[in-house]
Amino acid sequence: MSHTAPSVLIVDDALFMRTVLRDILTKNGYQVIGEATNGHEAIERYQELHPDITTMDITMPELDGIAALKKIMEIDQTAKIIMCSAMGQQGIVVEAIKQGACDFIIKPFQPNRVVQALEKALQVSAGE
Amino acid sequence: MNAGEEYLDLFFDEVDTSLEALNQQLSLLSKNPGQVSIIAEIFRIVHTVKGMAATIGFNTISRVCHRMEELFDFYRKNPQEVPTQTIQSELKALDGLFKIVENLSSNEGEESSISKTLSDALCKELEEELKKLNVPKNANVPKNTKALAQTPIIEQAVSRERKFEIKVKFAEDCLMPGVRAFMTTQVLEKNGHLLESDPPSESFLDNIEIVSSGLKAIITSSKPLEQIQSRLLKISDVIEVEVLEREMSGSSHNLSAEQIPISLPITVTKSIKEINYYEKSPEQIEKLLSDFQRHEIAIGNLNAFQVDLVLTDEVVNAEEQFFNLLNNLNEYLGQIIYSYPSILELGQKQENSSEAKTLTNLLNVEAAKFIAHSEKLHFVLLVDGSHKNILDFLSDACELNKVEVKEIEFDWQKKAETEQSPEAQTEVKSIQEENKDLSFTKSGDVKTAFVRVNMATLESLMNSVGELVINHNRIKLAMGDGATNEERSILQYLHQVTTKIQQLVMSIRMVPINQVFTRFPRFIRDMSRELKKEVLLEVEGENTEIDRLMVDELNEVFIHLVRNAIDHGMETAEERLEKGKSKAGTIKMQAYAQGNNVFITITDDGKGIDPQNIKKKAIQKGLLTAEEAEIMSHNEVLELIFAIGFSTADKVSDLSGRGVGMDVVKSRISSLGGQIFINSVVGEGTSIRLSIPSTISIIQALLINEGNGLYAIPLSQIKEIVSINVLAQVYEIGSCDIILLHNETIPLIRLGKYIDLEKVSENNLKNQSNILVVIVNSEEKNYAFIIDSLVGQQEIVIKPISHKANQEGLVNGATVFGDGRVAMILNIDQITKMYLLEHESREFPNDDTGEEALYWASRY
Repeated sequence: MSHTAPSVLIVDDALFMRTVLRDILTKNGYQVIGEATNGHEAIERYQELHPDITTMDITMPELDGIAALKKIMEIDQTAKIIMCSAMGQQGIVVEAIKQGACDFIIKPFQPNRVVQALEKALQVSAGE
Repeated sequence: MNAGEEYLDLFFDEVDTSLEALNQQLSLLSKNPGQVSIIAEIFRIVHTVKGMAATIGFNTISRVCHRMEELFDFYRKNPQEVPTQTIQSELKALDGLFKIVENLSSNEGEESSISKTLSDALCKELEEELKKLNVPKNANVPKNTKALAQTPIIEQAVSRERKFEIKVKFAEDCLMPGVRAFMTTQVLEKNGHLLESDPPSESFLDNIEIVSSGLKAIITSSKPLEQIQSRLLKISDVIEVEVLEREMSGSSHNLSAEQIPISLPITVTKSIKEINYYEKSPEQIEKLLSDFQRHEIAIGNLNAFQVDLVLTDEVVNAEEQFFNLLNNLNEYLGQIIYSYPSILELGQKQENSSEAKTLTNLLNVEAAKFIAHSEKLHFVLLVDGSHKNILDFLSDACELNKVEVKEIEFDWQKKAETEQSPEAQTEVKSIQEENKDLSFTKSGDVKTAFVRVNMATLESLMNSVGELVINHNRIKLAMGDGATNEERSILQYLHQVTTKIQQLVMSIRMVPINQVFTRFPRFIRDMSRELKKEVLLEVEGENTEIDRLMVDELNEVFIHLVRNAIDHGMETAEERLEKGKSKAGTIKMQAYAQGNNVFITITDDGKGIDPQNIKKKAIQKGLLTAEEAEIMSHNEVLELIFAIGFSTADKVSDLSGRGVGMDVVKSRISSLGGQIFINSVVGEGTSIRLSIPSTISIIQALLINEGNGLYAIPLSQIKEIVSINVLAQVYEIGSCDIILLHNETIPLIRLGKYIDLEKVSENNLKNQSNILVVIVNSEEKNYAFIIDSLVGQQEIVIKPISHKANQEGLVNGATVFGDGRVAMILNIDQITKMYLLEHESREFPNDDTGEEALYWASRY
């Protein structure tokens, strides 16, 4: 089973949010291969793990999600990054989409939406 | 906003930075009031602050920002010098913002009345400035798009490309529709040139209407229409995409009514994926069929089919198509007993839509929408034939290009005979579904529905199933040999059903062991942090299934084992590096199933267990003498850690040794009917292997007679059953008897001694020439149990018995048979343990039999 499960890197500074996401993803057949708590870690872990999908929180200490997104997109243009946003961060989400994020999910997380976003991200092939 | 509290510091930090930047930009602007880049930057900063403030719930800030933003939005879109007065107002607003932020910060995030008054005043002043502009809010937009549409590049491109009108609908519960709209335009930009959009992209973020109105856009693109469409559908929350090709000529920058689409509308609805999923239909059909029967229409050998039709491409008039189709089916093929939409409805709609069609020529866009309203048809058809007949008919009869047919497994003749309760029907259905060929269901189409069941209910269901098994056996017994063939076949069928139910109930109880394993990454992380040791976790076979009842028991056992491994087994990073090991230690949790058993190993690559330490400890604690220790094998020494009251830790750390010793672990596993083994190599690590039955309720057992009782021994522990020649194969060593079998000496145990106190016949062996023994395996050693006779092998249902009746734990439970007899299920591990306790303490120190005991012990 593990060879088919898409791998996910979860980036969020809050342990609580990571746990929630991890549970949702694990239950739906994704394999969470790593977690990062800020933008710097996210970049490091991304290079190390090359996950199929990365979920990226926006508001994080040290280096925020947008900056990490930019950096990762520079490293790997095909990176699939889904932003985790709070309500009201529309402008930032738009910025993230401009920078190459493939989708966004909104806290509090609804499992079906999260899964849908990941499924879609996997569908969209790199070239498009 | 409570959720924002944790972000408060972050917010203040960021807002300060942003306001400083804003201050800088505003002073730059006052020197160059017309510089577009500065205006854009100011707009961006104000927007960011507004977003942050809104997130955390500071309306005093976001309101002011919103108005500042609006002012600069105007100058951003209409490049011109910003009047000094406006800049002054903005600077004043900025000062005000600084004050509000300071106030908020000192009030720990509470919006005081001071900041509210200030905010109101600032808003008012900014509104005055806005009024001076005297521009309707969106007046600038058409101008803007027009300008865009007339740029030479676009015109040039137009000649090579096709032009599309695109309508996108978003899900009703869509969050941040503005961002979705933005994502849509981004996709469009990537696939062509966006000429205009309605609403315009500038107002996306503030426009909540987008959800109801959708997004309209006109683009030019050289890409095929389908590709644009499918790409758009991949955006989350986009539920419908309509793409119309437009003529290239003519005025191209607005959606005028004179334009006529040159190709047919294509509507792709995402719900197409779900068409094969029927949840309620079988019940509905059943009801319909019973209604049908009541009308006394001859049914004969008709089959009921459930058919779903979906129109995907080039639908001219779905209602008309469906209406005609249903009529034709009724007339030429069979009997429509149900349809959605109904024929009546379709008939009415068709009338409406023909009116609409006339209107279409006048106002084509609106009417087209009206017609392509329903593209799905669901009906149930009674046919004298197979689904192939229907398919053939359908493919001939209409231009429908996507036809899905699904046969219902519905044996309604039998249903008519027996009145079944709804519960019974559901059960039968679920069994049928399991056996059903799954070719009709595409993967991912069927949603799995889950029902939470109280564990006690499940337990009682299991017991009832047990009763069922028992009673089945009783009937079989009662009928004996005199049963007729029919009775036999009914019994056979009953047996099949019972077995099936049993299996289903068992499968309900089974859960992946991952339920236990998932708790460990966290546990290990916390523990390694606390003990300052680096530990990695590897998990294998997490899908191995175990009985739900064992999850909690195993969890406790694993926690103890893992805790031990980290606390006692793992070295610190420095120690590991010194020894040439990897810096971080690894704990491996592996599980696999074999036969009726599940094997779980927990392995660490720590320092291992030094048998010398164990010996020392055991001697100190008086568990054994130095002489005994001398002659023990490596494994026997390791097994000592399972002895009651044994602990190898030099000091009790915070984490391990919470009163639960390895002896408790062992008795837990034993009570689950399992076994525990240990293996350890000094310097390389320790491995604990558990073997537990995959389920604890129904086991395969060997039934035996001994003395006056009937007993069951779990088959998983039996190695063989042999007849032993007393003279040739039985030896006496002290008070122990041993047998010699396959060149191996095996202790001979009289079961009667432990389980049936009335039958203690020490010397009866000498009166017999042959005895029947069962060789069982317990903790990797063999024992021979003398039995009177064999009854047979059978699947038995374990019924727990009270502790009072079973204080020594010699039995694991009881089972009831069809004839009402009861058999005790022997706890082999406990019996052998008692045997060893009794004989080791009595025999080994005895000098008279020392030599023989030595021989004996050396083999064991």
